[in-house]
Amino acid sequence: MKHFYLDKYSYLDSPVHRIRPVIKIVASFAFLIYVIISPEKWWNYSIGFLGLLFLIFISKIPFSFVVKRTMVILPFLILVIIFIPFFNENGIKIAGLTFIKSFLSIITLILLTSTTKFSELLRALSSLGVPRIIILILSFMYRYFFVLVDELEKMLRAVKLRSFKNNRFKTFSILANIVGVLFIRSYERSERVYNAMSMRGFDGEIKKL
Amino acid sequence: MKAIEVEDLHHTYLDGTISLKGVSFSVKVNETFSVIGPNGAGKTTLLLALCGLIPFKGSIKIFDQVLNNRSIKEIRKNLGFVSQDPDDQLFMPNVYDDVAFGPKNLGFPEEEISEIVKEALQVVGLAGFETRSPHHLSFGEKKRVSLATVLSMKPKILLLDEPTSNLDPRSRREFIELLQRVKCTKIIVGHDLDMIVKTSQRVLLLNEGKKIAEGETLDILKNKELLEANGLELPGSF
Repeated sequence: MKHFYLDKYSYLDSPVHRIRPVIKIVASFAFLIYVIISPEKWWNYSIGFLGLLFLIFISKIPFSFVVKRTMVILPFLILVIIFIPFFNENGIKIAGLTFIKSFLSIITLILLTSTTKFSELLRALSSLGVPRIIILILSFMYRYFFVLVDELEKMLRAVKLRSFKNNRFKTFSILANIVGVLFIRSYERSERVYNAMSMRGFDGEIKKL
Repeated sequence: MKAIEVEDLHHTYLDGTISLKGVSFSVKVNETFSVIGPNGAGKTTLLLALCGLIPFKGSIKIFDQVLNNRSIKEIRKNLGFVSQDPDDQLFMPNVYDDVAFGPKNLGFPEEEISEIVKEALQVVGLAGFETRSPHHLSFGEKKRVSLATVLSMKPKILLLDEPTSNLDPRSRREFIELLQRVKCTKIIVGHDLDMIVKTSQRVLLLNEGKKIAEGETLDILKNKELLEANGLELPGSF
């Protein structure tokens, strides 16, 4: 089965895609820091926002995709800032600023991750000195995310095909079972993956990607 | 010298299930040797034992070297194990890193590795797939990349667990041709008897952890009663 959930648009070709990943990472984080510590002026953020819009435009990533991605994170952001006005004198202003700053940061990161292939991102992070163990964990996460989603989809389909009554309590207990089975399967798979790794000379020491 | 010599191999799973009950056989150098049997016969367990991945009783010698905790690292350099599920075999974010994983761990010189990877991918007919992610590959392609990940280590013995399971007819035929092209000692586990006739010189028949027969491929596969008594059937075309 094919999935395009994570880096769907990283296979496009555009000037933004062609920038070296290391430079992209450094530039993104520099911009993030700037957004966080910059003077609180509206033109400051508008220029940043327009810049990001321009980059999204030339990178050929559909705006709808960026909006959808932002929507995923927005609820968490709102949950964080919603209480600020109750505890501060300038609460509304601070909440607004936090919102704008976070919003710009989110778009920056979406731009970075959707214009860079994940494996290149990891390689760049590793050359920037991120510990190998973290790189390996991230790479396993990326690799097996899709396998797990596949397994989950298969199980959900099997449930759908065999359940005739819609009983909410029952559904929850079935979901709990599915999570349990998914956990056991992942555990067993991890053993098999470890076998495959040790058959290919892995001895606990992580070589450079 | 024999490539593999197994004597009186026993294995019991932690829950008490006895999976191997005194299996003995030997495999000659450069021979393709198949282990056949119904589901649950102990075929995969046998492969895992040969790789030293599970504890066992009895003796396994690989190129005259006894398999034990001390020799295991040395011995594994000669073994290329391809698991049945390519999602277990391919664990890196892209094809290049996966094929290069073995050679890097074995300490091949850095400048040779990209050449080795290219060569291995060429052998399996997937030249130019270096930057692809495993989850963007078809099942047949994943199977072939799995083979490339061990071919890049230049193993003397290939161990393949059900290499043709779940493949469509064309991918299956191509995979069989690929196996015929690769020259080294091969142990194939499976119940795709058509594939086994096309690839193997000798066969070991297992059932319920016991050795039922060992011999020339055709001698055993032509014995209809023997096969049917052990849960196997020859495809109609034979």
